[in-house]
Amino acid sequence: MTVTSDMTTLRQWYPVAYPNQIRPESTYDTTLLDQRIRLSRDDHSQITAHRLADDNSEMATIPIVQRFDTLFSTLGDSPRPLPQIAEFSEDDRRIIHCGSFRVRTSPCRIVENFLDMAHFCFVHTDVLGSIDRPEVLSYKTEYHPETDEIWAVDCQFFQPTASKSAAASGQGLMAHYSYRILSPFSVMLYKSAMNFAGRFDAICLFIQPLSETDCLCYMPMAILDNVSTKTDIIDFQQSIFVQDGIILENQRPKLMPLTPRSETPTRADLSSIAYRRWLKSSGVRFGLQSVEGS
Amino acid sequence: MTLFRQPQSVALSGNIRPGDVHPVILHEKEFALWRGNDGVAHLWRDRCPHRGMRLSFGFIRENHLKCLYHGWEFRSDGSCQKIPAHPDLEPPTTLCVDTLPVIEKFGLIFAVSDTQKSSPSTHQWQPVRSLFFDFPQEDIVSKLNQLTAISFEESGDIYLSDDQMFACGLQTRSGRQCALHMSTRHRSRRIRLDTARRMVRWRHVITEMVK
Ligand code: FES
Ligand SMILES: [Fe+2]
Repeated sequence: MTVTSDMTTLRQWYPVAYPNQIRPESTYDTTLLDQRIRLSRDDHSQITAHRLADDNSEMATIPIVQRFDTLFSTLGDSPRPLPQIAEFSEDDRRIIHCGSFRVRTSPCRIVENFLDMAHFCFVHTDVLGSIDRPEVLSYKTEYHPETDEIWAVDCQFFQPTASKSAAASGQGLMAHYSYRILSPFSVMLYKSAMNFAGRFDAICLFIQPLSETDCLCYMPMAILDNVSTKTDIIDFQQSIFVQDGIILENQRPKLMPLTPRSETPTRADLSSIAYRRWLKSSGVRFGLQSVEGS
Repeated sequence: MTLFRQPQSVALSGNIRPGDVHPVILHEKEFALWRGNDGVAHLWRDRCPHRGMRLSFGFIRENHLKCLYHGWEFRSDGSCQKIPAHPDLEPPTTLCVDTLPVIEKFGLIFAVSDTQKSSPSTHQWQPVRSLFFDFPQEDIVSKLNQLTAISFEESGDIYLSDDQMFACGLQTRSGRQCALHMSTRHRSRRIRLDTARRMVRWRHVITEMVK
């Protein structure tokens, strides 16, 4: 496979590993946008990254930076800066990263699933939604020109309470969400934190596209929670992600179609419509079905 | 949606019970084959018009199919009845799944290019077995009579045994993959099981021969 010629996609930072995946004096090989790369950690704990040739020899170095407890790299010149996410520097938050999940589909499909509330009650039944409360209330999308980000705000969705007995008695609450599309293949959400009135958990999804239809998903989170163990939190996120994975790998086609009428959105898909429009205007082609005549 | 001239057998009637939905591949395209609780079988393109989720992952509610992803509900004619995210919204009439007509006869479900009448006698036929092969349909046709001791005669889109007690339908999944579905009018469970077992043995032999 050749590396994409889509300049917008090339000029982004992508997650390529968590720091603890590379032990001292060892290397870690992975793939970014069909380009094989190698990360190496020397005896001073310094990490470098190279493109790999077909015979596995190291070629040009590529930049590597650590943010949100995750290592990012890029194949392009002057990449779009990584986003500012203030919550990751707040003292009372726990920074937890949740696995790297392999999902064999387009990164666009993964972002769109992350933005989507309408599936909560069908795919995450009794966890993020309740089958008898499927309504998606109206919300707004905004374009932020200074950061070139799309936001979806004033989102809310009925969430049954975690405990089984409370769920059975129909108890639950309206959870509030805001979504930020940080780059073509990264997105985050703010969700009202359970025992911290007026504050929000920050949950990110950074995607490493191995190829157009094969991705690794990284989920660093800055959350407010003094009760759950780290394992509880990771288990919870993983169980959610497994459910989404089944959906994502069975959407057809895998490459997201942008032609009108190839898929039919409804009001709840306002954020997906804004995302698709923004991808198009940003010149992204990677992960999208090619449009005839363009 | 017309895909082929010859009617294609897609499954054994008795293997698709009311409330079932199965994925089916026909000429390299994915379909969802399902049966409503009214007993009527349907063959739909395996793709939800909303966000492309495979409908074969959905579930059957009475005579409707509900998509797994966002619960959109489709009537048996393919039109959308309900969008749960917006309970008050009347789905536009243009919102519709691609459907293919099917008929049932000799205990087999066929995809056809236009609507024909199903044969009423289909309930007398019982499934024997479906077999899947990694070679083209033509290779099966030429070897069909080596199957068990039964000799088959082609009769339009199906193959009937000389004694009219067994029927076979063929399915082209792709240029290199096909399937064979066999049904019988024999009431005896032992005959059905024996024949199914012989079919499996036969598949090993044929696969070796084609290699
Ligand atoms: S993809 Fe089928 S309901 Fe959304
Ligand atoms: Fe989800």
